[in-house]
Amino acid sequence: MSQLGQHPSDRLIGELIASRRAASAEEIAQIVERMATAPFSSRVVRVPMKERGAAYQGQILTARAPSLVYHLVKRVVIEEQWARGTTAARYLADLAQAVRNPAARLVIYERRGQRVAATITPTGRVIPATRLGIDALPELLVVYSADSSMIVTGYQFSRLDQTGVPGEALWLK
Amino acid sequence: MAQVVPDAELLARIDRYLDYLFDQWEQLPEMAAEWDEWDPDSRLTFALNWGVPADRLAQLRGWADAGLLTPAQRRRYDDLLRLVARNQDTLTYLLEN
Repeated sequence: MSQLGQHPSDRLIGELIASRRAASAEEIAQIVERMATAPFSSRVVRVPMKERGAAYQGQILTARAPSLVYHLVKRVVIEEQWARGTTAARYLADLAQAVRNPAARLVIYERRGQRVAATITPTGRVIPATRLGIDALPELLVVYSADSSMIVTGYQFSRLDQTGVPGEALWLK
Repeated sequence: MAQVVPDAELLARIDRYLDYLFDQWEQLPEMAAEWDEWDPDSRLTFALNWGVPADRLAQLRGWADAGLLTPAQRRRYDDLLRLVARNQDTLTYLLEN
């Protein structure tokens, strides 16, 4: 298990996962606020082979890419969940709006030794149809790592059981 | 009973999903070969994002079971299932290591 991030919400997420106690409304609001204001991962990540060469808005994926660039190209060009024209800023704003949306559900769990918080929001509550890609899906997942204090992914899906959210995850709302 | 006829939009989506899923599943052995070079952040990114191909495969399975694929799509889908079976252990390794 890696170390938790420095933000108070990171320690709260870690404590809730460890104790599995019920979270108060204030604690839930604190986690949501942290997720909505957290930066996207600033790490450089490896790009899977078949996704190398994909290009968007002047950026071409090679063997390594900044995580935000990788996710933007993946979501717009490779998976076509967001429409062409979506910028990194717009993608991030969509994820933040999804986290803050009153309809968002909030869940915390461990994944690959990291403690994460995730929200699930109906896509239509956040993204207008004109900005959706041709392979848009009805739910929008945003994942925050309490170990790195950063948003680590955001994508659309149709079936929760395929997202990797484990059965023992703790649903806070 | 009336036969369910898929619309052109769905048939096009099925073709895109098949293309996408072949790419995703074909690359796994090569990824496994260089997995030692992947740092923890990259491995986490891969694991979290695998939800998209997993979700698409589940959708595709639903459409196939409902008989909505054309004969050509059905042949590709069957090829895809064989590829998935071949690489399932590799995927499990990548998601767990």
